[in-house]
Amino acid sequence: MIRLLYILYFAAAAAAVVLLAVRLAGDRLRRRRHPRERLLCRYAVRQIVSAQLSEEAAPVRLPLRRIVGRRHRLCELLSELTAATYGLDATPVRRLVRCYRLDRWLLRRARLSRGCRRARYLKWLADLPVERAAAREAARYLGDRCREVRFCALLVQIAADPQQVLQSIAAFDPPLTEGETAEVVHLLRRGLLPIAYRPLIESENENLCRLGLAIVERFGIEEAEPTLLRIVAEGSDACSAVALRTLVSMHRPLQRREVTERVRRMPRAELRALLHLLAREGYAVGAVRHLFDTEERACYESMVGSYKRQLVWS
Amino acid sequence: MTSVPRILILSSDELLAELVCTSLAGLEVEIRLVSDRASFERLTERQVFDLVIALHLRPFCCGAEVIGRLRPRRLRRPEIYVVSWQQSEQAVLGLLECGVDQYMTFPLNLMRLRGKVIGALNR
Repeated sequence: MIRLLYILYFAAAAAAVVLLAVRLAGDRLRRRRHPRERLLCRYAVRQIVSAQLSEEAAPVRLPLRRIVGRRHRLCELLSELTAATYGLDATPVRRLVRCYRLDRWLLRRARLSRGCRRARYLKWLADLPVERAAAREAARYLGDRCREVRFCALLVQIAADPQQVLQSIAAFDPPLTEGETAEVVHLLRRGLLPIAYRPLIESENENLCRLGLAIVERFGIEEAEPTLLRIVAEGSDACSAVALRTLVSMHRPLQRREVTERVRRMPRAELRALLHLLAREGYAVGAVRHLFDTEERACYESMVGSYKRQLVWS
Repeated sequence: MTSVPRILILSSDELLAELVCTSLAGLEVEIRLVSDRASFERLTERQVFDLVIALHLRPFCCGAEVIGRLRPRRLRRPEIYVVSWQQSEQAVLGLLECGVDQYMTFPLNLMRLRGKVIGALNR
């Protein structure tokens, strides 16, 4: 019996030592591989961007054959490139997508995964110059349970068919959040979105209205002020709050009947958020005095006068 | 014999630094890359650059007199370009007031950046 216990004990110890050794070897291998992969990725970036900048249609050759998970790394790289640049020729990237079958691979990965992983694969797909067939296949995720997946599927639709961009956004079921709207506005730089803001802010659709307001804010379009005031007075609660925030971000005067009435019927939490925004945008106490009652005015005065304003700034 | 113009790129992100370097390929310039503030300060103390391209705001937002140290008195050189993701008007105004010559936001048009660099070096 004791002999058996000894055998078991030594077997367990040997197994632990072997496992530890394997793990150490794996770590060492990973550490050795990491600088080489970084070098190869830098080389890949140089190759891709040089091909995009050059006028000749030279093929891009990437030394990624020996990298483990090369398609994963390449998708990540191309997504980062797309996020950081605009106005470059998409032909070399299109060739890479065809050569490595990145769209097929991403769709397969999205099919086999769930939640944020699926959203990430779809986001990468949206950052590539995708064909309409791939977008049709990704359309099934527009009804996914996860909101992030649904939004990334929308981005794929927009990337594949820029002419249908407004229809796709209007048909997106839950209203876009601020972050999602900012993500869509980011597509303006890639030329996937029309810049004509007026039909958007006058639209009945909440998503389009929010998008129009985000464009007005991004470009500081002061001519839109009368329309913004109309939305503040007559728009839905969500759109009217966003329109008011847009007016504040553009540093417009707030001594308007529409603004005063909207502030009076604001819930408390929204009012506090507005106070913070006003402080951050540098509105003087006198400029907003008429909007608030005594308690909120005192709160705003202390916010502006105290260190908290500096915190809001940073 | 004229010396080759020197460009210093400050970026903690390798990919972005590589992007900017590649966009300047083919120009007759000497490009130096630094990734952290300590080596940035060490290098700028030893050498005078014609152009500094910073790919983040951090060095200019910490209260240190970075631009005063970079640019000797009565000299317009080096020109300082800042490229960042930050789009707030206050940040941009603050940078321009403290002496930054150009501010650009990501996403970046590399051809435009190249054109601006060529223009700055010709000046």
